[in-house]
Amino acid sequence: MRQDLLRHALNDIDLAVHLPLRDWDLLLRQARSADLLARLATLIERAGKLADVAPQPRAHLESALVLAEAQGTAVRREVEHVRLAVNSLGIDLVLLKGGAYLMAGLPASQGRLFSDLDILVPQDRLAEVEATLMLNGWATTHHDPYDQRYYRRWMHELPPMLHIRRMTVLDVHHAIVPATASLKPSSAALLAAARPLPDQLGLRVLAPADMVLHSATHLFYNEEFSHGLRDMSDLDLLLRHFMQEGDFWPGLISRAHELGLNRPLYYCLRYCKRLFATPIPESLLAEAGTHGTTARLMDKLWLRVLGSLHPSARDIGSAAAGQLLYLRAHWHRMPPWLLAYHLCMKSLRPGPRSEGTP
Amino acid sequence: MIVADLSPGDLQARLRTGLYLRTGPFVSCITSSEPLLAEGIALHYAEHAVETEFADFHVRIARPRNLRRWYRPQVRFYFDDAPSFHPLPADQAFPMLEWGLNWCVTNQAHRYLIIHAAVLQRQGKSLILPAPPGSGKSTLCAGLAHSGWRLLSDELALIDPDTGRVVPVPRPVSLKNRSIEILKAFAPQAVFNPTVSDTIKGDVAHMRAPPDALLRAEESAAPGWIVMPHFEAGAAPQLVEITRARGMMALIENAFNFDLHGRRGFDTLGDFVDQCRCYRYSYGSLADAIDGCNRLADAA
Amino acid sequence: MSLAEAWRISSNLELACRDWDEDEVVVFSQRLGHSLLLSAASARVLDLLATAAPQTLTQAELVERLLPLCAEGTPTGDIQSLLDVTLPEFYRIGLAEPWINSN
Repeated sequence: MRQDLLRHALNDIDLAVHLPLRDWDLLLRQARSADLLARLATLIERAGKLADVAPQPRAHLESALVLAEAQGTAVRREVEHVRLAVNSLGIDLVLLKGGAYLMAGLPASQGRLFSDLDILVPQDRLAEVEATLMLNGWATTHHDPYDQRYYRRWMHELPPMLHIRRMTVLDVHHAIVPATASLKPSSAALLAAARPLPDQLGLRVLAPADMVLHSATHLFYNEEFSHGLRDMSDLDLLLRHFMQEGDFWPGLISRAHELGLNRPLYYCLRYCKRLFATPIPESLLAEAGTHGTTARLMDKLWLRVLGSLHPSARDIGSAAAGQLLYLRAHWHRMPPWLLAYHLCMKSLRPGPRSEGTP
Repeated sequence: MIVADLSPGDLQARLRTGLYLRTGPFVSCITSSEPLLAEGIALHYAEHAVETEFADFHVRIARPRNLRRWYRPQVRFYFDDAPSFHPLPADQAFPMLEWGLNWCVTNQAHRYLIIHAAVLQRQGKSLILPAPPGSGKSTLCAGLAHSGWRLLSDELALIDPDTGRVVPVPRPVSLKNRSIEILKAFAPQAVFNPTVSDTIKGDVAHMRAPPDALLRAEESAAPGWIVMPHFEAGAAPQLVEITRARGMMALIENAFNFDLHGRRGFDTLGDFVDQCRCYRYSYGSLADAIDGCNRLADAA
Repeated sequence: MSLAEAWRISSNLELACRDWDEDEVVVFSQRLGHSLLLSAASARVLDLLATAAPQTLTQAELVERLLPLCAEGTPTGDIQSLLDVTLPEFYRIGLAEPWINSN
């Protein structure tokens, strides 16, 4: 229970609110390191129970709410800048992930912190979009020719772009998985199904099923799991919201088939149910896929890295599990010969500088 | 229980597993095996409460695992077990703790509007000295703290949006270079730890917060005066009243987190400045400066 | 030069202002995310533009409306030169924009 305090708190706000101070001492650290402190604070606030929390931890929840609200305002402002630039080419701006949740007013945006903004553009307009962004003050961040080549040849996005005045980071994607990945969901299909937002001209987000599939693919086929629990919480909130649309579940399954994303969907459904008791129909789980012979191993690996990464929640094995899944994610994204080349290059080059002074 | 109740051995033992130390509204859980850090805490935080259950910040000062562990050892600051700042020579362990604790407040306590300023109080009103480094703010703050003013903080003015009052965080006052000697001459009763040389900020010594500051650590202060100090060697003292608009801009420009608070922060600071008189103060000696601040308080 | 040039306040600035009846005021825009120290006179100009919105105001209209607010006998030329400095500055910081009337 102590190890899993954060997940229990997210699942049961009443329990969280009345935790003794000693447990809050740990819960705050777990929530902060999983980037879920603002989410926890928002859930408690929306339940009208902030005043029930002891004053010491409440101060931190209030601090996180201030931060989350300010980030929301800043992201809205940034979306407007990017929209103007992209719309000038006659293309609607398609937002991904956190930016999309925020502008669409989805519950998954509540208390979600941002480090960058992600957008999806048609691959045949990528060069134009990049040029227009550069005219409007965004500059590429990776100057190393190897990195540039790596991104441009094999990745599903441009090297992150930094706005030179506002110092905001923009990730421009032309696909949701790298060109080299074993999964090949059609970006054209995603863009075609993207939905306009009411009252917000020139702005679109992925269709509900696609939004879930993208988030799941991003989580289960990525190499970085430090936001694992946060991403699972996003998925839980997305599913709970979209399931209110009557034919959401069957549509989700058939869309996963169409895009070839059955596997990430299966993991998403299985672990959402396990971690957050998301009300997913049993029949749907069976339809989504079978667990196969490696089931127990995969469960063990995933549940370990999806837990909070605060030291108290990290047992000895989770570092190794993280490593294994890193290799697995890379394996799925790249042909084996390329993987060897990339790992070799990474180990030959000096790493990025460690944390700077504050 | 307070820190002075612990024997040096007990204090070191606590520090090895985590000492829950109260400073104003915050409790920091400090873990370290550095002997210099234990000495600094025993000296500066003797009268501070030791808590048991809850800490706002979990920090650790430890030697990073590298070759320099043995050759010119270094220490590093960890927040929630994540390393922050570049490592510093091990003899700077105590200054590093102080800078680290300031960093914790400015990065985690967004419940408050946090202004980079010294705060003192007399006649029930706060005197805020918002200023960039080099303006003589810390020297003046330390001098006032030994001249009948209560010290709230030498670095961080925390304004509580719910009450519009300043919340104290009494901690040691950080002094640099020549200020150290000036203060020792001005207030012989002041308690200092040994000066640490060659830090990124030059020579640094910490002055213990006077007893009054700690006794009244839970007592917030009402708005009073905003004074922008400007030290100029040999200059005649000159106190000029400035517009409240400029006083408010001084708070905004020196705020760490004004941008996060948006409209509510603007209203909070506006209401605060409503109740303040604002000044720019040039002076050439510490005695002059203290005299000027006293006259402000006496006129109120 | 400024034939039909008119000015209007930028949209959705969400302005707040602190005025202590001094020579200067502090203005905050939620959308721009920052605060500005304005002279009381510049603040008047901003206030006129905000009141007129969404309509635009030409420099001549601004002069006409500022005149009654000024001390008696203030030459129009002084107000004109205030606007010559203030309006481009407003444009630079994102508070107002010039608008060419197409008709």
